Amino acid sequence: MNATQKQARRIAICGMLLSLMLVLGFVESQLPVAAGIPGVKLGLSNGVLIFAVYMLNVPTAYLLMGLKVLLSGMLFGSPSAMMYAFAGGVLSLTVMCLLSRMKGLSPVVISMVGGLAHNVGQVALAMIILSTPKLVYYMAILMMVGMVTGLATGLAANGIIKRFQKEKTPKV
Amino acid sequence: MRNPNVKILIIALVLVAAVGAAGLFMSRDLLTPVPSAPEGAVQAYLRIQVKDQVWEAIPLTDGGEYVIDQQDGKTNVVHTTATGAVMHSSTCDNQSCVQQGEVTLENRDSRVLANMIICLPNEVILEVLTPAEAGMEAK
Repeated sequence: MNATQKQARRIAICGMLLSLMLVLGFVESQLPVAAGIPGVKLGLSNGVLIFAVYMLNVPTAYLLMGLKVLLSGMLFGSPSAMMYAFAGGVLSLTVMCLLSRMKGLSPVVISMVGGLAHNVGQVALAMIILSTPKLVYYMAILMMVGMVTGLATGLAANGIIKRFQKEKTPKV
Repeated sequence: MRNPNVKILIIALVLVAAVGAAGLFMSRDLLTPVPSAPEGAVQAYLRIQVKDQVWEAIPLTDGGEYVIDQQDGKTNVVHTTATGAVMHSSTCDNQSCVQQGEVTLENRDSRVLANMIICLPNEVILEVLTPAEAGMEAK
C-alpha cells in the first residue's frame, strides 16, 4: 500500500467507526435503562473507542471521541448534554489510554475503569457547575453503574479485538 | 432420635422460630413509633438553588406551587405537599428532573439523589429538609 492508499484506508475506517458510534448512541438513547437513576446509559460507543485505542492509535481515538460528542450533541442532544459527555469522554479516554500502556491488563478491565472514569468526569463537572459537593453519594452509585456497563462494553470490545488480531488485519 | 416424627417436629420448630424471628426483625420499623409533629407545626422545608444562588428555605405546605422563572426561557414549576416536593414541569430538554419524581421526608433516604431533585440544564436544585436541617428547629 502506498501513502495515499493508507490515508484513504485510515479515513474510511475512522468514518465507519464514527458512524457506528453515532448509531449506537442513538440506539441507546431509545433504551430505557435504569429509569430510576438519572444519567445512566449503557455507553455502547465506549466499546468502539476501546477498539480504536487497541487497533488504531491514541490520537485517532481522541478524534473519534471528540467528533462523536459533537455530532451526537448536535443530532440528538443539547449544548449542556454535549458538555457533560465531553467531560466524561476526555477523562474516560485518558484513563483508558494510560492503562492500555500497562502490561497484563485486559481490555475488559480497562473498559470497566473507563466506564467508572466517565461517570466521575460527568458528575465532577455537575458538582463544579452547580457548586455543590452533595453529589458525592450519587457519584459513588454512578461509579458502580459505570463499572457494570463498562464490563458489558469491554466484553464486547474484547471479543472483537481478539477476532481482528486472529485475522491478522494489518494495522491502520 | 430414632423416631422420624421427632426429627420432623424439631425441623418444623426451627423453621417456625426462624420465620418468627425474621418476622419480628422485619417488623421492627413498624413497631418503632414515628415521631409525629405537633398539630400545625411545619414538618419540612424546601430549599431552592438556582445557579449559584441559594434561597432561604421555604416551609412546605399542601398544594403549594412555586414557579422558578429565570427570565431567559428557563422555567421550572415545583409542586409541594406538607412533607415533600416534586418537579411538576420544566422547560429543560431532558426532563430528567420531572422523572426524578417526588422527594418526601419518608423516601429521601432511599433515593439515589437523596433529598434532592436536580435539573442540570436549567441549573436548579431542590432540597427537602427537616426543620433541623433548615435551621428552623422549634425552640
